[in-house]
Amino acid sequence: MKPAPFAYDRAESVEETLALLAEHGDDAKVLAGGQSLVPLLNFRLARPERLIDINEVDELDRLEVNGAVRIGALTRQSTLEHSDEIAAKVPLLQEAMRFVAHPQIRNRGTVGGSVAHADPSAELPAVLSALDAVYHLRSRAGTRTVSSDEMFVTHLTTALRPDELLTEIEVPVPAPGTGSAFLEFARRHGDFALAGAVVLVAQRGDGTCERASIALLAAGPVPVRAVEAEEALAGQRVDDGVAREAAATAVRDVRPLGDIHGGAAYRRKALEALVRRALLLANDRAQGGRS
Amino acid sequence: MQDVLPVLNPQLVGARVPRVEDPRLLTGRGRYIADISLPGMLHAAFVRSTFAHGKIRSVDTAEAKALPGVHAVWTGADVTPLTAGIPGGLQIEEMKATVQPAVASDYVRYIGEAVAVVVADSRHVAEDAAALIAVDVEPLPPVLDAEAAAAGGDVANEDIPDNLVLARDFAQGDADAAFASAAVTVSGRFRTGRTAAIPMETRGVIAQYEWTTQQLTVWSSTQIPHFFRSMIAAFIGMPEHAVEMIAPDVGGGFGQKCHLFPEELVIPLLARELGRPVKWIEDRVENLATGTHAKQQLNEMEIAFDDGGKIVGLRQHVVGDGGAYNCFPWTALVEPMAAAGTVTSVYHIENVKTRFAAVLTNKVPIGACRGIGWQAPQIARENLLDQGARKLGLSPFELRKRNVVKPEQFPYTAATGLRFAEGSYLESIEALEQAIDYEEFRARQKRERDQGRYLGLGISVFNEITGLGTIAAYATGFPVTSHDSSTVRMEPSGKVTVFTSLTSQGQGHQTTLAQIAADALGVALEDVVVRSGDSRQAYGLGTWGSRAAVIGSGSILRAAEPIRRKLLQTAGHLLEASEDDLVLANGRIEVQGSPDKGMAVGDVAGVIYFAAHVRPPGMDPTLESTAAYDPSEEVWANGAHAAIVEVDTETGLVSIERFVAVEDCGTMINPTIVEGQLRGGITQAIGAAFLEEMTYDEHGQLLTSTFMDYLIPTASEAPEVEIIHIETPAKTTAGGVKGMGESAMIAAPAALVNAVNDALEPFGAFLTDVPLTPDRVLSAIPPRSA
Repeated sequence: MKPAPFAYDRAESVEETLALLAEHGDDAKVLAGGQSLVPLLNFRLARPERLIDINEVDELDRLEVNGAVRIGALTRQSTLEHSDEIAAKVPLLQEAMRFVAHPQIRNRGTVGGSVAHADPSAELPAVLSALDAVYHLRSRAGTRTVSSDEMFVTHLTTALRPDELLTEIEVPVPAPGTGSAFLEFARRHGDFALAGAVVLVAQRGDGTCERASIALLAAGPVPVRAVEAEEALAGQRVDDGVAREAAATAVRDVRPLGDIHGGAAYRRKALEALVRRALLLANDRAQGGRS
Repeated sequence: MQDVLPVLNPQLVGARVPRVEDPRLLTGRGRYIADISLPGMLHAAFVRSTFAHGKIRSVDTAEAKALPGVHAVWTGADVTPLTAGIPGGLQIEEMKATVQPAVASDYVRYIGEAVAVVVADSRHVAEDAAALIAVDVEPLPPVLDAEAAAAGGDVANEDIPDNLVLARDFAQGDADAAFASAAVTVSGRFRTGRTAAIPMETRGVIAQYEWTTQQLTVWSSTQIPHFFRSMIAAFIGMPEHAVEMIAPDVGGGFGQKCHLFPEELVIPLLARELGRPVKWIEDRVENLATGTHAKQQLNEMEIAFDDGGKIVGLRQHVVGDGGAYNCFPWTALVEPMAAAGTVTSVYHIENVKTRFAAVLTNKVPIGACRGIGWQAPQIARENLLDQGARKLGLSPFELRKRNVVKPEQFPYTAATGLRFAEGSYLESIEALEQAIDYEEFRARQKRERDQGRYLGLGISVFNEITGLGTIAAYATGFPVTSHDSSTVRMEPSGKVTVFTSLTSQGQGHQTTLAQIAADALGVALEDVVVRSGDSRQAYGLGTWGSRAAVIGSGSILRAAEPIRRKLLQTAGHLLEASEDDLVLANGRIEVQGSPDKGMAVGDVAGVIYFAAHVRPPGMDPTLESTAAYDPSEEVWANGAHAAIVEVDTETGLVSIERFVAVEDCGTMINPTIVEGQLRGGITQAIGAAFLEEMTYDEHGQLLTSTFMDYLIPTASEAPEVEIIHIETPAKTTAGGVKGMGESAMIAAPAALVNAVNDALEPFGAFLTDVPLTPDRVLSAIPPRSA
């Protein structure tokens, strides 16, 4: 379990990173927290010719909350987990972070790394999708901003071009009174989810649902937004029956991949249960006036 | 050998002494094999088969040999002339032996079998070179289903055309007649998954050959340095006294490291050939694929009851999936023969009929692992007993109380021939029942079910054969002479050094065996140091089979006795007192009733070593003695476990609400260490019950090749465990101690599975495929009934 030989560059700025990517992008991988990449290297499943280490690129390690939440790509997952501002403005992010592996991994693992790795069972891509986050991508050729739909192309594949670097993730702060919930099942705490559901519910004054957002983990090759179920919930008072129906709708067309930890049929059943529970919980929290 | 032991006067035995090894091990100052670095050392990496079964056409090593930094590349063709490999067999009629090549040369028979080895300046270069080796294999059909293979068909190992290492029937009484007239019968077809021991430290071997003296030193992360030194010498053709084997600190074994492995032959041969030390540290992928696997069994079991709930008969059919070769030294019988031989456990059952088959498949060899063959039949029997209790309308506690061997039946000989000298079977069940408050639980279970929450209670009553000596080995079917020895040396200052062949893999022997030695010689714990793991001292078979407490304490007590006598003789001579009037305790020898008339033990020892004119005439001035111990009886620990779980009927996930363990391992040397064994074992049992399963696909590819796929319990999964101690001393061992290292891995998986089945009883579900994955649990619940 030793990696194949590779060249190594340590970048100290975004500009330098972009220059290296422009030169070597096709043969290089960006090393951030290394929590997915390094095992892949050691298994020799990934054999890049070059690693571009961005751990010294301080400008990418920042977390800003004003209007929107701006998360630099190198922000450690534990920073997000322990930020009071995040807890106050987007409690969903904090709730989800505790399901990301274990504290040791969150101390090293970065938010940008999780997004760029694009594992459909990972927590962050689904949560960011539910929150309507956008992703700022930079290359020497310019800057562009993409949505979750555009960003997550398929299993372990993003819209990032070989010469591009994910620099920042921008998350709109949910409206006051929005309830949210993150639930997932894994065979052990901290493992990749067998199934997971992210739900936000914004309520009207009368307690009916104004707008719901539902994203599923481990439900297909990319994080899945359950758009039909979201639309059906608008105007409804979310009770057990409504939640049950929304959950059935949410999983009707999903095609989770089965593996040794759980077959596809099992995962669908678990997803449905999770959507129902997360929806009821988010709705309950919205009623509680928690933002 | 029928060893009678000196009496132990317990002072430190029984005390919660903190583990003396902990400051070293917990601050990272242990010295494990990966920490050893020798001048000029080279590094090895193995190329391993990616086919489950096939004929090797060619192995092309040219590119690897040309890589800078590579010192040697060997294939089977290079290794076979140097060693025939590892013969696996036992002296049992009709049993077929296998030979596992050190490096495969003609056939590959499991994923991970070594086909070449590279030695290079660094492990990195060795792995780079290994990646350049092209292995051309003509695939053969892989044999993956042991049950089908038992009937013939495709052959897993060309040397064993019928795939059967051994099949054997056993009957006592008339089980068929008992079933014919039974009031109630229950049956099940239980499959326990293929698991692995998963020591925190993987295996590893370093070898160094000194050409000037022709001495070979082998360091290995092993449980058995002494006996394997003898075997390495034999298998690579070196004189035994030219080979030494050292087990440094070993980070867990759980049975996996009580096998001799091909790497333990190959690395020494490479070191001898190259004249430089060679190091191989197993990585986790190798460990998961090629360290022995464990446990996989099919248990078809039936139990018959009369209308009073008395067990009148038991029938069992066991198929053990042995992998491609007999492991050394236990062979593929390690699971199925042990499963059949101990099936009646704590219960009085007169009519028993068993059949077992040990079958070869194209998987890594099955080996010993904590709880060996007993775990699987325990799951089957205890779950069936609860089924029986449901049918009979009895509580599971009551059913068991009616059937266990009663106090007045001891000493008891089971239908299987096993002999229990004593045991607290009934008392254990009663203690467990009281802790659980059975009636209250059933009431709460009903209330919760009405709310859609599914709780279940599972119990598991067990005994464990421990301190495995020759008598116990033969009794369980293994014709193995099995003893160990210790050397006790009192230094001139009165300090004590103990060398023992009972190695430690983290169990705390440096503490518990020091407690024994200190009591044997009447000195303080800090006056004793225990050393082990070095074939240059005190020969023996090493640590496995819950033997260290019993055999370690017995051998130390026997070795210490001549020293104690010499001390008393000398003190009597100096104090002009009769030896019979002397008391040896607290580091002093005093005349009974006259504490002012006495000497420090160190002063007596000093006289023996250094005062020729004062010591008793004719006394040999040594204070060193070696003795072996081989228990004169089977030594059985026992107990009872209960689990209360909640099953999420929408996801199939199980949470453990409560776990209670009643443990009776006789006199406890150190209750803290006993409890640590229980907590660790119960956590490991959670893996066996819910998480761990080595999975091969239809081509024999191992799908569980990393810790992302093969799930082991972690601290997050470890439950709170309530422990109740009962102490029924063994009649024959040192101070009455019994072993208990495997008890939790025998008892706890059955309790956990039983608890899930109890929780799902309203759905008519009865799970028999273990581990109980969420998928399996959910599949057992009819749709929409949740």
